[in-house]
Amino acid sequence: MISGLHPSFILIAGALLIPFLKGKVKSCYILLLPLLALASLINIPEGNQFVANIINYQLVLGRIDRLSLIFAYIFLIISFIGILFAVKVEDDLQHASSLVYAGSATGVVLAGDLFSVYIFWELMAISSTFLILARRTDKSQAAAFRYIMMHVFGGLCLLGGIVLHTHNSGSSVLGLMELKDLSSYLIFAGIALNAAIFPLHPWLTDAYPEATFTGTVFLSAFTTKSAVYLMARIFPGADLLIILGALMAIIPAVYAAIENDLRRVISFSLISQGGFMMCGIGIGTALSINGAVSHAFCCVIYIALLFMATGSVLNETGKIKCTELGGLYRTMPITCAFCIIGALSISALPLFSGFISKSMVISASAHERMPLLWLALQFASASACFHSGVKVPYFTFFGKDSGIKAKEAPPNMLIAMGIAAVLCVIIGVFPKILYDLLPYPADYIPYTSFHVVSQMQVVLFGALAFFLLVLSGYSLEKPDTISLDTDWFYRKGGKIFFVVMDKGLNGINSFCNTIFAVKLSSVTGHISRIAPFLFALLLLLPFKILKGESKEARTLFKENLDTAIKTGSAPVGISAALAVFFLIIAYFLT
Amino acid sequence: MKIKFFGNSKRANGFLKAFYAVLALLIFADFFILRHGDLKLENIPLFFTIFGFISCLCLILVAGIINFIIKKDENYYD
Repeated sequence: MISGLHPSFILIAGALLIPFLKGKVKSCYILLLPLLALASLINIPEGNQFVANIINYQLVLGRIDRLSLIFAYIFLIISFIGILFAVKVEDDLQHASSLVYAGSATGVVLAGDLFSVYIFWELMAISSTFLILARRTDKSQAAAFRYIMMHVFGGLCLLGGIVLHTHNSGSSVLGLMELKDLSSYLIFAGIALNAAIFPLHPWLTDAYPEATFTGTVFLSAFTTKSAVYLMARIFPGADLLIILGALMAIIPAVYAAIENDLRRVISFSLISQGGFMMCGIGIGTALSINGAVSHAFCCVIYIALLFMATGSVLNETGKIKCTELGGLYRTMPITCAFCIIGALSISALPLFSGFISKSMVISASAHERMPLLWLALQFASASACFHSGVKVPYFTFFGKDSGIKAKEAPPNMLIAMGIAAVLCVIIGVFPKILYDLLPYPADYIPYTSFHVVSQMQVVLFGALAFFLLVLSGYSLEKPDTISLDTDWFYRKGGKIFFVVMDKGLNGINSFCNTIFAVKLSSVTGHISRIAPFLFALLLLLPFKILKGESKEARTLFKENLDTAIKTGSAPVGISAALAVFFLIIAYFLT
Repeated sequence: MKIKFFGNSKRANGFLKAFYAVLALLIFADFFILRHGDLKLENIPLFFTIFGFISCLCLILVAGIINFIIKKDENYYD
């Protein structure tokens, strides 16, 4: 029965039943959904499945090939881990949004046409927003608002690109595109925003640290990685991705180094890791794309592990800042151990997952003789070791003793972290398991003495720099500040735009009101009131002067004429003369 | 030596000694491995030790300087 259902359908439709269930039944049910979806995915044969013809377009909801499968696998695996981590949280909104989010992300990577991608893409943006809103703080509400606004903007770029592309090419099939016209650039921009490519990245570091401690686990896995998938599907070998990827790998590393909020540090780190994937896709060789895809696979697990470990700390202590935490290894030893495994994985130390994937991308850059890119990636790799490999566990579990009396995380959270940690090690030790799933045949050998020693040298000598600075008394703790980023343009710029529009448009409005409604109407009213008198005077006064009437008599005549015109009691001759006069004016005016 | 890695300086010193030993071993191993890098840089002896150390040091110090330039009060956007 399961084999006939689309995995996304199982998750999304399944999520709707959550509010009707209670207690352990609900816990079992939400844990079962990702497993059912995974079972269904395994049973779907390769090729185009779940095809529907609507109007003139063919919607393909299940394009099953090696590239889509590996992403769908990791999405469903991490859904299970994330749900297990969150299973004790009593908030149906979060559970339902997590599952809809997971279902739509799986839908994006399985979709075979651009319109299906777009539908799941928007569903992903909406459902993920609830994971930020669910924290129910003022900060999270504001961050969620900015998050959805950015994704609506990105979604519109994507939609515009899709419509233009379909109109121009007559086909809505999801496939390779060249970056050459408006439609391809719009699609590229829409995906780049979700991938958090520099400079479109600040929504991620703004929103993820404000989400619930369980929601961040899901957030970190789906949005950016589904964008990585689409880049690999549509724009492999795009040179632009190499430059953007290198910037994306390096710049967030600097921010991660100065950030105080640990979940924000990991968010910057997540972007930096995405830079490796973009470079891999941009290089466009079989080795580099394999590297990008395997790095996405590993990154989902170890970033989720780091978010789970820091999330557990946040849940137990209510604190998440470097300056407030420290010394928790005594009270949370198991969480600490899992966090270290995540940290070693992101540092790409041999025997951990990051090593066997990151080194593929770096090797591909060397193989293609790109020394500058190679140096940039090596630098990003060394800095990942500092900001996530050392900084996150050090400030949380070691460093100064914060005196916080925290309890160890509950069993379900420990098991979730444990599964992720075991996966990190298994993939690191037996890379073939992952390599066999990659889109291209992989003959890469990560465990040569040269790779192992050189990588350990980069990581451990980087750590040495950190320890020497700590020993020398250099303070790495930065107080609470905001680091300016490209979100300044829409956060401050948005306010400036509002003020300009407010003053500008309202200014024009009140100016027009003064001119047309107040001044002009009173002037025209005055003119229409005195015009007949003036014209009559203009016609009659010359005759009075010619008759030689005295000044007093003329003044009296003026007063009488004014009264006669105002009261409508002027002699018929004057009224007729005025009528003729106005007709002559009207004749000349028309 | 006063250090707070693991709560007390004895354990911290033990950790640091082991750490330095691994570093020494890595330098030693550098002369025996078969280098098969595609770039000339990769084949320079001890390149990765120096690169790792300097890049992390630069990152931390440069980040400190950048922090002074781009830091704003927490309520900057409110």
